[in-house]
Amino acid sequence: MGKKDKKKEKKEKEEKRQLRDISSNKILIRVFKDFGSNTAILKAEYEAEERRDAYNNLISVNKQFLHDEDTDFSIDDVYHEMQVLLEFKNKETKEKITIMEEKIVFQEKLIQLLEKFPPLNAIYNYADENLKLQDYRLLKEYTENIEGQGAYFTIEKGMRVYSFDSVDGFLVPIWRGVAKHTQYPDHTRKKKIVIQEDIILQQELQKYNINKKLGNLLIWGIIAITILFALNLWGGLKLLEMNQDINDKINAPAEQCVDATIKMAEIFSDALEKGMIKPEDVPEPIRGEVVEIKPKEVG
Amino acid sequence: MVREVEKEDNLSSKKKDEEEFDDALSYLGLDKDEVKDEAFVNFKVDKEVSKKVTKLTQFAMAFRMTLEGKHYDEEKGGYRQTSKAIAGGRFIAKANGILTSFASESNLLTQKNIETFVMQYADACRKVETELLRDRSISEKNTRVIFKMFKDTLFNIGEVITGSRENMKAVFGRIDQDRQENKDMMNF
Repeated sequence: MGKKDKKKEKKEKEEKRQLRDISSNKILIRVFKDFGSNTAILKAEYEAEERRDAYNNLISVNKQFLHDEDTDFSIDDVYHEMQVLLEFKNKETKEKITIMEEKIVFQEKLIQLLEKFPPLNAIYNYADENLKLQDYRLLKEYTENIEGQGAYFTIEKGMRVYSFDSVDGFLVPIWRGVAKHTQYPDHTRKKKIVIQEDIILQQELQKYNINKKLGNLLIWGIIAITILFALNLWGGLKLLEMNQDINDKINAPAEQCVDATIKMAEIFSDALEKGMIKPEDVPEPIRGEVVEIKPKEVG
Repeated sequence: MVREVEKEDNLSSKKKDEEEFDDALSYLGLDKDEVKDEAFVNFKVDKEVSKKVTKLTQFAMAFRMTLEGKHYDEEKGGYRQTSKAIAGGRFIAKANGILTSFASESNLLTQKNIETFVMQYADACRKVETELLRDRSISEKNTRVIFKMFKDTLFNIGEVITGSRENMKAVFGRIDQDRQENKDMMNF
C-alpha cells in the first residue's frame, strides 16, 4: 500500500509540474522544411520566451537563434471578406469546396483570356483577378485542412510546442486540426507589419534629416543654456565684487574714524596716566566715558 | 505567290483571333461594344499647353493609365488598353487620389515654396510606399517600378507648382546634401 501511495503522489506531483510548465512563458519551437518533397524535415528545435512587444503583440523570442515571431496569429481580412462574398454561412464543407473549385476554374480561364486579349483588361483588372485566384486557392486549402477545431500548438512533456514551416526564410505557423488529424501550414494568417512600417518611417525621417535637425536643435539648446548660465555666474561674481568695493568705500571713513579715535584715546590715556592732564580738568559729561575707554577693546 | 499565301495566312489568323475573342466575350458574358468603349479613354494630350492646370491633370492621368495598362494613341487622341494592369484597382485609386490632390488648382493658388513642398513630397512618398508594401495584388517585381513612376510623376508636378526647374533641383540637391551630412555624422 505504501509503495502505491508513493507512486500516486509522484504522479500527482509530475502532473502539477507539467501544468505549471504549460502556463509558463517558455515554449518549444520546431522549424520544419520540406526541401521540395512531401515530407517535412526538422530543421531546428529550440526554446523561446513568450513576451509582449512594444505594440502589445504576443511574440516569442530566442536571441541565439535570431527567432522573433508572432505567437498570437490572426487570420487575414481576405478570408473573412471571401466568407461573406461567397455566402459560406451555414454551408457544409463539401459544398464550400465545390463552389471554390468552380471559382478557381473560372479565374484560371479568365486570367488566360486577359493574357491573350488585352482589351479585356479594361473590364477586369489583371492584378486583382490574379490575387483573387490566389485567395480562392488559399481559402480552399484552408477549408480543407484548417477550418474546424484545433490549435497552433501541441503539448509535449508539459510544454507548449509551436511548429513552423520555413518558406523562403519566412516562418509559417502549422495548424493542428483535431477533427481531421491534419497538420497544415496556415498561409492565411496575417503577419504583423507594424514594426516594419515603423522602421520605414524612421528611414524616411532620416532621409529628410528631421532627426538630425532635432538633434542639432537639442545641441544648440544645450549650448545656449550653458552660455546663459555662464553669463549669470559671471554677472553674479561681478556684482559681488562691486558690492564689496562699495562696502569698502563706505566703510573706509568709518574705519579711519575708529583708528583716529583709538589713537586719540591712547594718547589721552597716556596723558592721564602720566599726569599731564588732571582728571578734574576733564569736563564732567565725558569724564566717566573717557575713563572707561579701553583702546584695545575698541579695535 | 508567296505574298498571296502570307496575306491569306494573316487574314485567316486575324479571323481566328476575332472568333476566339468573340468566344471569350460570350464565355464572360460581355458585350463587344461595351468592351471597346471601356478599352479606349478619350483624352487629348496637348503638347503645347500654356495652362499649368492642364499640365498637372496630364501627369496624373498618364500615371493612372500606365498602371491600368493603357497607353497613349496619338492618332485617335486617347488612351488604349494595350496590356494588362500592373497594380490592383484599390492601389490605383489610392495612389491616384494622392496625385490628384497635388494636381489641383489649390496647389497653384497657394504658391508652394520648396519647404512646404518637400514636406508634402516626403509624406506622399511614405504613404504610397506603405500601400505598396501592404497591397497583395502587386507583384514584388513591379513594386519598385511603380514607386519610381510615382516619384517621377510627383517630381514633374512639383516642377509646375513650385514654378521652375531650378526649384526642384534645389529640393533634390538639398536631400542629397542632407544624406551626405548624415553619412558624415555617422562616420564621425
